[in-house]
Amino acid sequence: MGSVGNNLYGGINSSAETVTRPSHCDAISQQIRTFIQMRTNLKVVDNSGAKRVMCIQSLRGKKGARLGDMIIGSVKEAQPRGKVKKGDVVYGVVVRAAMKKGRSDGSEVQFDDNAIVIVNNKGELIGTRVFGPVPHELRKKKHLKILALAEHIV
Amino acid sequence: GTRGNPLKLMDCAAPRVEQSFAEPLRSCSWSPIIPRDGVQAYGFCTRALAARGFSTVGTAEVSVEDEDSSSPMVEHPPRIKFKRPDKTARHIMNILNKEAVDKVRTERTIPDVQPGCIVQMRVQVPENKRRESTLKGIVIARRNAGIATTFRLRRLVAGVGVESVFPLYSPNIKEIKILDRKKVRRAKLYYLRDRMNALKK
Repeated sequence: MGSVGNNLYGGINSSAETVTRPSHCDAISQQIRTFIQMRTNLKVVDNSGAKRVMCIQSLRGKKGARLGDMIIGSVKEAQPRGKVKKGDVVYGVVVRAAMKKGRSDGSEVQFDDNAIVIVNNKGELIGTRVFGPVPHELRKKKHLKILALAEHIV
Repeated sequence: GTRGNPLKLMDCAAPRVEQSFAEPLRSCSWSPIIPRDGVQAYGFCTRALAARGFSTVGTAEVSVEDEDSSSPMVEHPPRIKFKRPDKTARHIMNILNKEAVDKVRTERTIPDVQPGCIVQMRVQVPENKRRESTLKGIVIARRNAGIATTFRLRRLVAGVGVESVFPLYSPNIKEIKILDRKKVRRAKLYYLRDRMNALKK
C-alpha cells in the first residue's frame, strides 16, 4: 500500500525536469511522535473484523498510551462479516506506536504507524491472528498470547 | 565586564601599586589575553595576569608573586575568568570518555558505521531470553557523544518500517558487519521515511 504510493511518486519525479529537494518539506512532515490519546486513529492488525479504531480513552498514563498499553476505542471502520461491528466500543492493546520506546539496554525502538490488537476487558484476544511485527515490551505486560501469534518479534 | 574585574583586582589586592600601573592596564585590550602557561610577555600585564590565572595552582614562582602583590589585610581570591584547560570539567569528561571508548575498542573491533551503510548486526536482547537475533538495515543517522555514541537503524520488518536507536559501544551488540556503503550527501537521512526506493539505485 505504501510502496505503491512511493513507486508512483518516484515515477512522477523522474519525468519532471526539476528535482524537488525533499529538505523543504521536512519541517512540516517530520512530526514529533507523541502518545496515543483521544481521537487517535489506529490500525487494527488482527482478524477480529475491525479495520480502524479511534481511541476514546487511554487506560494508562495521564498523557496517553504508549507501546504495550491498553486503550478503549470505538470502531470506525469494519469488515462486513467480523466479530466486531462499526460503532462498537472495544478494548485494545497497542502493539505498534510511532513514538519511541526506550529499552533497558539503552536502545530505542519506534514503528512507522500506530496499531492495536482488539482484546476484551480481561486482556484476552478476540481475533485469532496477528499481522505485522510486535515488540518485546508485550512480554513484560503479560500479553503472551499476542506474542505467540505474532509474525515477527522486534 | 571584563574591563571592570582587573581594576577591582588592582584596587583591593594591590593598593601599594602606583596609579600609573593602572593606566596602561586600562588601555591594553583585555579580551584576547587568556592566562596560560606560556603567557605572552605583555610586559606590564603579566604580573596581574599571573596572579589572576594561577592562584589556585601551587607552583612556586606564582605563589611568591601572589604574596608580593597582595596586601596582608585584604585576602580576596583573584577572579578567575578562564580556568586552565586541564582543570575544567569538560576536559576531564573528555578524557574519561576517551578512556572508556578505548577500553571498549581494545576488546572488540567496531567498524566505522556512517549514515548510508547497510549493516547487519547480531544483537543479544535481554528481553528475548538471551537469544541472539540478526538485524539488517540501513543506518540513517549517527550521533557522536563519546561512549554514548548512537546510530539509528531503519529496517523493514514484516512489511512495517521500524527504526531503532542503538548505542554503538553497547555490549549487547555482538557483531556489526557492513554489507554495503551507499553514497549519500547528508548526515541524517530522514527523507528515507517517505521514500524507500530512493537508495535502491
